[in-house]
Amino acid sequence: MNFKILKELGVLIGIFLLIWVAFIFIPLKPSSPEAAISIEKEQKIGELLMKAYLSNVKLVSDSLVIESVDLIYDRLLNGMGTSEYDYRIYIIKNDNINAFASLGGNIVIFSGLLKYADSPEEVAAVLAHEIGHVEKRHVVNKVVKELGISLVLSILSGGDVGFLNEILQQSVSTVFDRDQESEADDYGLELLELSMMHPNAMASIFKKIRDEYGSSTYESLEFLSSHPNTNRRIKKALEYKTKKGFTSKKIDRIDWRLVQEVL
Amino acid sequence: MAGLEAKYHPVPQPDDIPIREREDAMGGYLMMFAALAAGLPLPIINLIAAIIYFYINRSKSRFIKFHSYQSLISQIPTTLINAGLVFWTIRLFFYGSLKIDEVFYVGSEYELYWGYLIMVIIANLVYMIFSLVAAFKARKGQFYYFLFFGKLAYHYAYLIRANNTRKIVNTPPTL
Repeated sequence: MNFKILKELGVLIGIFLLIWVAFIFIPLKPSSPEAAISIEKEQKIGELLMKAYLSNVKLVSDSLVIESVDLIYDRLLNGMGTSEYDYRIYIIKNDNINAFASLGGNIVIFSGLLKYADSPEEVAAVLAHEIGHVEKRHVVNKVVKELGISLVLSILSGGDVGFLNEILQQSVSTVFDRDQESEADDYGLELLELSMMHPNAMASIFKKIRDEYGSSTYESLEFLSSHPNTNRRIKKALEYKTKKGFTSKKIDRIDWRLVQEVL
Repeated sequence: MAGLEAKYHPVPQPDDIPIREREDAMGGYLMMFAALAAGLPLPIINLIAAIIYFYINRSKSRFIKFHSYQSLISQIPTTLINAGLVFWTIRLFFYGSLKIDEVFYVGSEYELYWGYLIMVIIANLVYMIFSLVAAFKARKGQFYYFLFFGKLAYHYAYLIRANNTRKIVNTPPTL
């Protein structure tokens, strides 16, 4: 009887320990609402959004600039391997130092960022970070969280134009939460390494933006200045350990000074 | 195992238990619900209430003794893990942060905490359900054995103790 009673105690303790452990490993984060929207649908919505967005802005038309950014993007694409997204990169005329990822792999770079970056690698770092947001589906996650799935999907069935603007607003004012930023950073750093560019480029562009916009708030890169952990992010980028045998290769087909003169 | 049965008092059948005893036995479980609400911020009052109830009622009959003892001892672990939760929460409140984006930060103490929180909720629910069932059974004059605690309570209430046969013998000191 004594043994039996101890066995029952063991079973009881075991059950509750198991429940505890199980709930440590089952993520408690709200389930990802973005799962309801397939990448195909996201890209279709993204297309509509970009059409609306581009009608209000001016694109940079200089072929040198476009080709240079294409070269940078190609490097990243080689590092990335395959992606479910079809990336489109738009360079718009705007002196703000900014870049953002919209739905469906549409990435917008402001000409101000190109002017401000000292090397194509720094642009690549920002681009890699934004690609991280797209690949990890942060943009669609945020839009769906703010507006709800049905509203987002109603765009596809030719819904209200007002909603379109709303989504546009949401996807342009990209304020991600801290986890998402750090996830995008991690992705970006890794992508830079895979693309044979030194991950330190991310630290240097972040540092510049931080110094430039130290205390003021600033559109989509405001996370850099307003987040107290910007320094931590810079530090992380600086301390990123590349794998053994890593060699960086400069993007030497671009004459960066020439690009900046054109802008 | 045949000899083992002889060591315990026979369990009474429902018809043999007067209504008064049944109600007192049921009270052992219901007491906890009342005390639980009163002692919510510090989950210790229910334990104190259960101890008092047990000491007042244990000598009335073995049936009452069994039920109130089962209620009491099954409350001890529940109270302990509840107290653990309260102290952990206070600790996080003062020395950490309970903001939602902090709490969900991956790879921290918070993952342990949330797992524990859910475990505590489940444990309390299980405990309440079992107590309610036991209370109803006691009201009907039946037994209801919890896992582990049921056997312990039975052993405690129905064991035939040899106390009355023990004789105290005075002996002189060894010189």
